[in-house]
Formats: sequence, C-alpha cells, structure tokens
Amino acid sequence: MNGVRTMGKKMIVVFTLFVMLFAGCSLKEKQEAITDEVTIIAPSSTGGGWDITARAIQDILMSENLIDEDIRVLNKIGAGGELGWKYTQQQKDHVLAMNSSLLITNHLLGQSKITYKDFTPIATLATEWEVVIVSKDSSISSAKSLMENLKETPHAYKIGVSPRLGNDDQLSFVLAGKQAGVQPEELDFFVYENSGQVVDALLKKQIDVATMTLSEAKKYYDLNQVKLLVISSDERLKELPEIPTWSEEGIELVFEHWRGIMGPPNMTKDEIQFWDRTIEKMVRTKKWEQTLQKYMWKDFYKNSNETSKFLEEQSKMYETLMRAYRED
Amino acid sequence: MNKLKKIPLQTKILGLISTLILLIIILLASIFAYLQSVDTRNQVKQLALQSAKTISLMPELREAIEKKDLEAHFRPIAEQVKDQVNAANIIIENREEIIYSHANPSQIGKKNVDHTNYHALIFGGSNNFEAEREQGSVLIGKVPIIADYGEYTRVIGTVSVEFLERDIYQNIYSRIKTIVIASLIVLLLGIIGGIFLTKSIRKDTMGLEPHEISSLYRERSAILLSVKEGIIAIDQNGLLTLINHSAKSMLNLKDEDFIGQHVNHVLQNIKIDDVLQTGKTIHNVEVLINEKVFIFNLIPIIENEHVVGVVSSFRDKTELKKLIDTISEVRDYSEGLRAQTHEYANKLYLLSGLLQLERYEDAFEFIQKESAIHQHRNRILFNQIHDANVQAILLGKLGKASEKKIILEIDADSYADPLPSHIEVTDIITIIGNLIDNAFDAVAHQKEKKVTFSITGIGNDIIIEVTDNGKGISEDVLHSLFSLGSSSKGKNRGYGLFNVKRIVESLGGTIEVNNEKNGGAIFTVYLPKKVLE
Repeated sequence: MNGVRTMGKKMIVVFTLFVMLFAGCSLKEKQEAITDEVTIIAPSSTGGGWDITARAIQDILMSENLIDEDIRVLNKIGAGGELGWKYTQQQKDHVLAMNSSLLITNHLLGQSKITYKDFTPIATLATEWEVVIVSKDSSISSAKSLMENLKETPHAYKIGVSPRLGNDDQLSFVLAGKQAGVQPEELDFFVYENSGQVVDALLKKQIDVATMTLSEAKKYYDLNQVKLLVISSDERLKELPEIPTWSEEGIELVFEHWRGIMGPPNMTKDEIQFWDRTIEKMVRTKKWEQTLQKYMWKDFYKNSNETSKFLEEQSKMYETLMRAYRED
Repeated sequence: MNKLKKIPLQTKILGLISTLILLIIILLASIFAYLQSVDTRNQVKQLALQSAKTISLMPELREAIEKKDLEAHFRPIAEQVKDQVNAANIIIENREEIIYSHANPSQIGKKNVDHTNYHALIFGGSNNFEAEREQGSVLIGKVPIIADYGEYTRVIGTVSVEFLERDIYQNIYSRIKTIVIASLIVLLLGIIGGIFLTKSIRKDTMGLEPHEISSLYRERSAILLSVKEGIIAIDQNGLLTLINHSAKSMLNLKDEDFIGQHVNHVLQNIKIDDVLQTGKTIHNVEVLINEKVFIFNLIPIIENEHVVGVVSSFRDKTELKKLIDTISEVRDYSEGLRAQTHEYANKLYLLSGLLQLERYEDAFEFIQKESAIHQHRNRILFNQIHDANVQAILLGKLGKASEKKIILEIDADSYADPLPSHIEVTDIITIIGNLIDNAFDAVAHQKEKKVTFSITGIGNDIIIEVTDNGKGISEDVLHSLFSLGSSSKGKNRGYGLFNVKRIVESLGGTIEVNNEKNGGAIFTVYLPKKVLE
C-alpha cells in the first residue's frame, strides 16, 4: 500500500512538470518575435520618398493595431542613404530601413561597400513614376524641346537631382537623354541633399530643370510652384491627365522607381515570418490603398522571399545599364 | 641485354621522387604565382583608386580647376603623389574632358578622346579599367572630382591614376624568383632524401634489385611445389610464413591459407617454435601426427647471431615403411621360389635314386603322392582363385611355408574372381602378406604348425580369413593390436597390422580378430567389391 502511494505521488509530480513544460512551450509560441519598440530608418530628410513611405507604414501599423509595440521613424540623412543603411547594418534590435535601387547603384558606382546582400530583405512595397520638372515661369515648354536643346548644347541647362548621382531620378533622365541623342557625359548635374532643396534651387534659378519622383514633385505642383514636363509611366495617369508620357514626347521610355523595406543582417526566422505576416496585412488595409492613391504610387508588394529574388534581378539589371554607358 | 633494360632501384626511386617533387613544386608555384598576380593586381587597383580619391579631395585641386591654372598650383602635388605611389601617370581632366595635368606635357590642354569618363562624369562613379598606352597596357583608377558648393555638389572633373602593368609584373616576377629558389632547395633536399631511402631499401633487400627478388620468389614457389617433402617455415614470432602443398596434404590440412597463423594452432604435436629459443638444429626426429609417423628436420634461420625463424622439412615415415615392406615381401617371394626350386631338385634326386636302385614301386608311390598334393593344391589355386595377384602371393607363401615346415592349407571352399580394380596390388600384398606372415610367426614355436587361408568372393564382400593354431591373442594385447608400434616382435616393428587396418579401412572394409577354442587366432577381413561412394 505504502509503495503504491509513493508511486502515485511521484506520478503527480512528473505529470505536473510535464504540464508546466507544455504550458511554457505554448506560452513561448504565443509570444511575438517583436518585444520592443521598433525603429524604422528613413535614410532621407522629412518629406522625401523614403520618409513618406516610412511614416505611412508607422501610421497604418499603429492605427490598425497590427503591432503591439511602439514604432518610431528615425531620419538618418547623408551620403545618398549610405549613413542610414550603415547604421541599420550595425543594429541588432528591431530596426528596419527603407531602401530603393540606390542600395544597388551606390555599390556599382564604387561609392559604397554596402550591398543589398548585407541586409535581410523584408518586402518591396510600391513603385512610383519619375517626372521632369521646371519652375513655373521657365522658358522650357516641353520635354521634347528640352531634349532637343540638350542635344545641341549639353551644357545649356543645369539639372538638379537628389540625393545622389546614379539614383533612379538621374538614371531615368539619362536614359531619356540617351534616346534623344544627348551626350550624357556632358550633362551638368547639380546634386542636392533632398528634393525640397532641388525645388528651392529651381525656384531661385540656380538650376533650370530637375528630375525626381512624382510623389516628391506633386506637392510643389499642387502648390503651383513647378511645371511637370513629362512622366515616366506607360500612359497618362488618371489623377494627372494633363502630364504627357515620354513616348508622347517622342522617347520610348517607361521607368518605375521602387521602394522597399529591409532589416539588419542575421534576422531570425521568427522575425522574418512576423514581418512577412504584418506587412502583408498592412498592404491589404484600406489606409494603405489610400496612401498609394494619395502619392500616386503603384502597389508592388513582394514578400521577403520574393524580394530577395527581385533584388538579385535588379542588381544584374543595373549593372548592365551602368556598364552600357561606360563602354559606349 | 635483359639486365640493361631493367632500371635499377636507385634510378627508379630517385626519378620518381624528383618527378613528384618537381610536379608539386611547379603546381604550388603556379598557384602561388597566380594568386600573387591576382592579389597584386587587386592591390594596385585599390591603390590607384585610393590615390585618385585622395587627390580628388584636395581643396587645392578644386581651386586650381576653377582658376584653370593647374600648372602652377597643382602639378607639383600631382608629381609628388605619382612618385610616392610609383604610378606611371596621373591625369586630371575638367568637366569638358580637357586634360589639365599629364606626365607628358604635350598632352596638356588637349581634349581627352578616350571616352572613359562616362561612369565618373555622369554618375559620379569610381572605377577601375585597363587601357593601352604608348608605354604598354596600364591599370587605371578613375574617380570624379566632386566639388561641394554648400547647397549642392557637382562633378567638376576626373582624376585618373595609371599604373603600368609591366611594373606590376616586374613586382610579381621578383616574388616568384624567391619561390623558385626555395623550390630548388626543396628539390635538392628531396633528392638527398631519395638517396638515403634507396640505400635503406637496398640494405633491407640485401642488395637485390626488385626484379631479382621477384624471380627468386618465383623460383622458390616452384621448388616448394615440386618437392615431395613437407616444408614449413615460421618467423621469430612463431607465425607461419610458408607451408607447401606436400606439407598440407601429408598433414591432412585443408587447402586454406595458414600464413600468419601461429604454428602451434596448426601443428600441435611438435613445438617448432621451441627452436626459436634454443637456436639448435634438430635432425630426424620422429613425430606422431594423426596416427602417422613423420620424420622432422628443424633448422633455425640465423641472421646477425639472432634466430629470426625456423625452417622445417619432413617426410612420412609410414609411407617409407610401407615401401620397404613391399620390397621385402617381393624379396621373400623370390626366396620362397628359390627354396621351392631347391626342394624340387631334392625330390628329383630322390626319384632318380629310387629308379637307380630299381625300387620302382616306391618311386611310383612317391610320384603319386606328390602329384596328388600338387593337384589338390593347384586345383584350388588355379581353378578356384582366379586373381593372378592372389595366386602369386599364395604361391610365394606356400614356398615359404614349406621351407619353414609349416602346413599352409588353402581352404577347399575358397573361391575368388579377379579382384576389382580399386583394390591395388600393393594393398592386397600388404593385407594377405601381413596376415599370413603374422600367422607364420604365431605358429613358429608350435609342434604342429598349421595355417589355413581362405578367400571367398561370392557375395558383395570379399572375405579373407587367416587361421593359425598358435597360442591365440591375449586379452591385454587385443585392444591395441592394430595401433602403431604394437608388436611382439620387438622394437621398430608393428607396422604390419597397423598398415593392414589402415588399408582395409581406406577400401571401406573391416577387420575382425577372434581366438579359436583350441588356441589359435582367426583374422577375418571383409572388403566390399564396390568402391564406397
């Protein structure tokens, strides 16, 4: 009898332990991969494309309760994104960073040692169109005449870009120029820190023409400060039916500028899965749709895995594009 | 002539070692040289970019470009950097690709028509590339000169730093030279090592070349196979190194490989490994193995006054004895026949004497009696026993019996057809000869000496029976009667019945011994007519 009783006690102890163990496991499973405040790095100044996107993400994730923790957006400005990305690369906590093709081109131009391979891709979010702008009272009337003049005298106009040479803003302009027969190496580019400065320079006639993304140019267009000469989309936008496409101006060019989000290297599987789930939920919200509409972006969602492949393709593409100019 | 074709060991080993080392050295040296050249080129590329970058960042440069007076303001600095990094040329161009600074002064002020500035001028990119110049091909690092105007930055020119590939390779060659010298030293060491190795090997092979060793080995194998003697050799640990075919068949060993086993596992009865301790030669020692006697010779192998092994040779003494017995048997027959001839001559003398004495009645009666004996005996011998060998043996034994005054009676009911072929002549000689001889010995001291032989081959078995009227066989001898060395005839005898039993059993038959009521022994042998499957 006594023996049986001790056995029974032991069984209870063992059973309890098991229950605790399983309970512990399931508790752990329920826990999210993210336990602390999340920082999103926008490697540009406030109002830039990266900044707008980062703040849209912050807003939607928090207002739609897609994430329990706080999110803050940190603007790390400088060297065409490089400073912000370097900062991200060194972080271990929950830090994400906005990116674009500049991540690839900076390296290709020998301006940076950082490549897309140094990060964990999380998502590609949206693309937007490139536009060419001039000041409201500019004598340049159309993209066509702009290109014709540049073909005659490449130094005729000073062209503003930001934040860095080699980005999609400049590349789209160079590609268009190439098609129009302009000697691209003689084009005179002025490089500013952000699109705001570009527009300022445009307004005070420091430069004659500028190239930037639609969302950046839109607010100055809405303020009636600048004219949009041309858009890099395949057809006129519903929202801006008055802006002609490059093909209408006699140049066969369609150019999309994408933006995405990435994390520091060596993110855990749990973290990646968490962000895949969260971002996927985010791009399905009404608010995100409204954001896309507001800035005239195009949905271009790709999850972590797809983005990884996309970046590889893009890297190859930019390499051939830039090499083509060198070897002409 | 043949000897000339065979390459001596030393040449072979040295050749192989040198070739091997040379191959490895060439391989390693080329890998090293390749890595060095890639590495050096990369270093030079980096150096070109870095120097160009450094120059492009100098504030004096921007000033000079803006004043369009590079000659006075900046050329000395460019020259200094060029000498410091050992570059072939440093070229500075402005936005319009007009050359401001160049190693060759005649180029200054001209427009660069290389079209190598796209990358730097359009995208502000830095890059490395190769180009052909008058002095040879060059590695170029090109960077943009980016001027910061506070609100904006702008590319205002490019800096190119050029390194002559010739200079780079010069550098690599001088490094490779060091490797080649080190390699030659290794090769030399290898050859010296090879010489020592060959000497050491030749010492082990007692100066024999490999082909000599292999021909010796072939000869030894052939010799070992051809000899009838059993040969076994062991090494200093008592492990078998050699056992020839004869040894295996004599010792009834299976035809498997015993090499490497301890000799005592294979041969229990003789301690060959004892010789390893004593180191003494042993001649003609008799050893009983599997009820056979072997005569062993054990000879130690001595090298440098140490016993390093034992060679043992042996013969089957039983076989030897059988041979000797058969020979003496044959000799007995000739003796017997001679005795018979002699007896016959005596009878003829008796007859001629009776006739001269004109005792015709007695002579006639003598002839009648002799003839009756002969006719009776010959009738059985020639009409009932049809095997010529048995006839011959019995004839011989009859002669011997009459000489020894023994009555050898061949049973009147004896009958035998020619013996089947599987029963060899020597077998039947051994069986019948030994049994009858033993019977003769048993009756030697009796008053009336009588031995009866009978053979019947009517049924499936041939039954041979030899009866004597001697004392019979005592109980204590009976159980060891057929074992080796069991004899009442003294030392070194006793092979007879042992051999008989062995042969009978090998023919699938049996042998029985019984004592007769009135004294005397009966030996009965049953031999099957058909070969045992």
